[in-house]
Amino acid sequence: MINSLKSLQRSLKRATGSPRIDYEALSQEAIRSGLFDPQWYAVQYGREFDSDLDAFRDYVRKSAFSPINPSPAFDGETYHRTYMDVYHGQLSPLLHYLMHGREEGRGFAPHQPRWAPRQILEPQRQVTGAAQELKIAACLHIFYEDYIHRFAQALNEFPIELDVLLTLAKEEHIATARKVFEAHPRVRHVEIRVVPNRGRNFAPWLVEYAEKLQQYDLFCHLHSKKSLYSGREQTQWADYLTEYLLRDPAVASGVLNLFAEHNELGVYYPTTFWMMPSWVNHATMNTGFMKEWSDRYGIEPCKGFLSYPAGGMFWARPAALKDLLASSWRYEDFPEEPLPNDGSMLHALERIIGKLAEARGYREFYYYPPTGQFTSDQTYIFSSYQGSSIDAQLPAIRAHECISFDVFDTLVRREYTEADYAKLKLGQELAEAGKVESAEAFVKLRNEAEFTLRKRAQFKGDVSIIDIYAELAKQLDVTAEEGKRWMQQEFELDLKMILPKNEMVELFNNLGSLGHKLWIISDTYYTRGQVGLMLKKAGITVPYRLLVSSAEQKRKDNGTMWHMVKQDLAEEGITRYLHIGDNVVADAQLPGDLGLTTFHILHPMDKWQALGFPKVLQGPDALDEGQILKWGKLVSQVGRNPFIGE
Amino acid sequence: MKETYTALREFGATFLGPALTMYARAVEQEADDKLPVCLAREGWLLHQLLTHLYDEGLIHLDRAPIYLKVSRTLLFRAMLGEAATWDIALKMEFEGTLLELLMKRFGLQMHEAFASVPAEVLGFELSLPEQADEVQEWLRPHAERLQKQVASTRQAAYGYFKSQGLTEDGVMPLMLDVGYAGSIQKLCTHFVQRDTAGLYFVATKPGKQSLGDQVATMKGVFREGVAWKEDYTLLERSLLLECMMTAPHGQVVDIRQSQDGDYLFFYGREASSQRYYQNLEAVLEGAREAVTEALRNKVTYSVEEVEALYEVFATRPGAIPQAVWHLFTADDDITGNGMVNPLQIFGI
Repeated sequence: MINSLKSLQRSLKRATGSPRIDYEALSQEAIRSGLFDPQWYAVQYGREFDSDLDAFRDYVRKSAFSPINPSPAFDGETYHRTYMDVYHGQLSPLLHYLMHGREEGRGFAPHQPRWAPRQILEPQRQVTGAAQELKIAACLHIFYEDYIHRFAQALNEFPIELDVLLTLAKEEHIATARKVFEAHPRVRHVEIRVVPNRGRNFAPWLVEYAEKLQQYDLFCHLHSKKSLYSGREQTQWADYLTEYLLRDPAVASGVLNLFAEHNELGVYYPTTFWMMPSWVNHATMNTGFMKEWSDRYGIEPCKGFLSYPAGGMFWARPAALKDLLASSWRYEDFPEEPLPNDGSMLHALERIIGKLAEARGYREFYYYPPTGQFTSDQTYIFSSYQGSSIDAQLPAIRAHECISFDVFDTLVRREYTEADYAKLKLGQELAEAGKVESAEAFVKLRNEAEFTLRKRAQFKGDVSIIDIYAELAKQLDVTAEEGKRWMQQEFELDLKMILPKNEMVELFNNLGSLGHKLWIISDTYYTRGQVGLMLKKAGITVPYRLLVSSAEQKRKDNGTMWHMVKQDLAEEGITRYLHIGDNVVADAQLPGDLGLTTFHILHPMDKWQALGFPKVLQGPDALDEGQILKWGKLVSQVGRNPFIGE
Repeated sequence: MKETYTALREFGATFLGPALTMYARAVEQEADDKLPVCLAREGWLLHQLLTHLYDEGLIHLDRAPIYLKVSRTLLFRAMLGEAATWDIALKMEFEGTLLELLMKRFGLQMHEAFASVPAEVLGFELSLPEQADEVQEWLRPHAERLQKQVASTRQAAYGYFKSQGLTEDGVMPLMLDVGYAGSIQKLCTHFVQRDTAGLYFVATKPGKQSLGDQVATMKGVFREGVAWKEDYTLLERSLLLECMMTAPHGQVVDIRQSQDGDYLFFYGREASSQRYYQNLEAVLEGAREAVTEALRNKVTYSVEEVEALYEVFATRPGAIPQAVWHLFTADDDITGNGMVNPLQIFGI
């Protein structure tokens, strides 16, 4: 199989005019077999081709990096996801199937819609007169020299002329860049700046061109992006973004037409690259940095799942990003390298681009390659969670010898969703007894006591509820015994509201019965005994190893727990390990960074948001008992089963 | 196995709970001095719910609510041949022959139809509401025979309604149903010759409507005056609600009184919600618990909130869990469509 892939890769590298791949014969065979339908393909993706062969070539090129389909009979994404060697080989699924796959006994599936956009936008796919009048610029940041040619090639069929504003990482690239872009037939004017390696792709265009960009009707920003897999350059993500931002003339025309026709559209980018983790459309470790940006520009803070141009490439109307462009930027405003993989002001900036536009009354719009549609529907951010189910995932889960689960909102849920409701109820009792000013004031004091302990420990290890109430008793000048009673009362109030996530508990018990090694790992101030009782109440009956942060003095959300888990796995010789949890950072991103396999499920509130229910229990409402009673249970019930559509 | 008790119950709580909470409060406000009459299939859940809330002291009603086994088909049949009811009976869409119309809309059996109307007339193709006047002309010469055919239904129905208190002097019935044009209320108003009030989720024609000497007054809790095809989801996709709010016996299509005075009820074709009523019961139980808890906790929802919640369930694929998919079929015989599956129709 490896040999066949290598041979196909070699063949594809020589693709143009290569005698090794007979595109003519293959396209005819694909049409005969019903797997390629040139008419359907042209209509679906808004293109006109001179011949069926041209349509087939277009499909073969794009399908190596994009989840487009050659016909309803063949689902490219399924083929790539089933045969990851084909994906990593950057091969067209249908081409691979015809040349090798079927001989090797590989199967294919008909088109499976994974997400159906609503709020469809239907622009003409040839550039209109109004769009031709637009004054536009492509602001390109180039770190790797080969991207000079890649971007230039992507502009070959661009529907109108434009200015190119370059920022180059290296002086020695100037000559090539000037030569290539000044001679380019679609380029009207070229400007080149050499920039320091600071602020990744954002600082260069903001420092060098923020002022100039305001003179344009529209601009796009792209940068050279490379990632590696097993030492081989993986260009699919960059190819995907370049294709649907610049290269595909039907998409580029659609983008320009929509901007020209709809003044309220402010930012455009294709929906997030399809092979990213399911949780990619999320604030992840950037919530704090995003808050800084939100405060700076006076916009509503955002967290959790959100739509943003993952990869930092997009089209924008300068007026939509006026806040950003009108600021005076210096390189010193941006952090120096080395920067973390995630969690920086730059990762946060990427995530608030759309929010800045929305705050000025503009909307974002997207292109969804599988259906070839433009849309302003943001629910694509949850598309990876649609149509899945425990049954569908079971074989993949069962392939692991050891499986760990998070506790809260993974195996158990709270009747009213809100984690602080037990504290609020305790606060009500204490306020009634005249011990504290109000229930809300008590929650604040109690959470501050927890924070004080964390700070005292310099945010190392973790704290337990016992310590928290000992501290609180001191602060409120009550006896240690009384503090203990309060502690027990908070736990018991919470315990009473603990419910199973029934389907997940059933999965857990089943896995245990089938002989899998089960661990439960929780970041919590509760003691091991308390968490054990909660799990017992939820109906967990099979044996498991319980790791709680308050006892282990290690947490998932800062990575220390995962280092320990990794070490334990190595010591026990466990190689097939999977962790299941609902927290994007603590249960998916951080263990994933250490090479641990994870399976992210939706938190009840995320599922609620994904389905498009009204925003509830946000900000002060989260501690408003009336709001908790009104919405909390509905959220808990909708989110009980973490899968959408099961 | 996805149809677990919890999945069914919690779906009932989320899908029906907020709307029913609002509706129950509205009934309490409107029911002063009236007799709450829960109508037809949807009325089954309303009756169970209101009785429970009334018994628990969570709502105040001057009279305990009653459940009336009734349907448009039963009333159309009971009043078949009466000129005053043609307008209501023939304005709903229908495609087919006159025989099919008499069987599906008026609940006649085939031999009853052939005994009342000549065979060649029964074979006439028709399209309603466009040909309503023509159809009246076809049937008018046979009105007497038709009335005779359904006389025992008419007598039994009147006796049953009377036994339920609908004809009592000085007591205004408050008809309770999901919606929409209030045809059952109007037919009842005419049938029992009493003024009536009606309270619906959605009332397409609110206000007072005269039916001879009687007046039927209608109100909508969530929306009034909206018409079909105006993109109002709670009305346009109300079939989803109707599938969940249904009685274990389905639709009553006929009623007779036995010699010993008992009423015998006859029912239409079972939908899946009747066949799997044990599952629907869990859904309804969840809804009942949710409303009970909401009233206990003094939780209120606004019209906009209920509409926003329903919008998601009725339009977003995946919002209605697989556990309840099998319950979503409905008998739409009255428009000649037979059994329909709203999840398929709406593409969710």
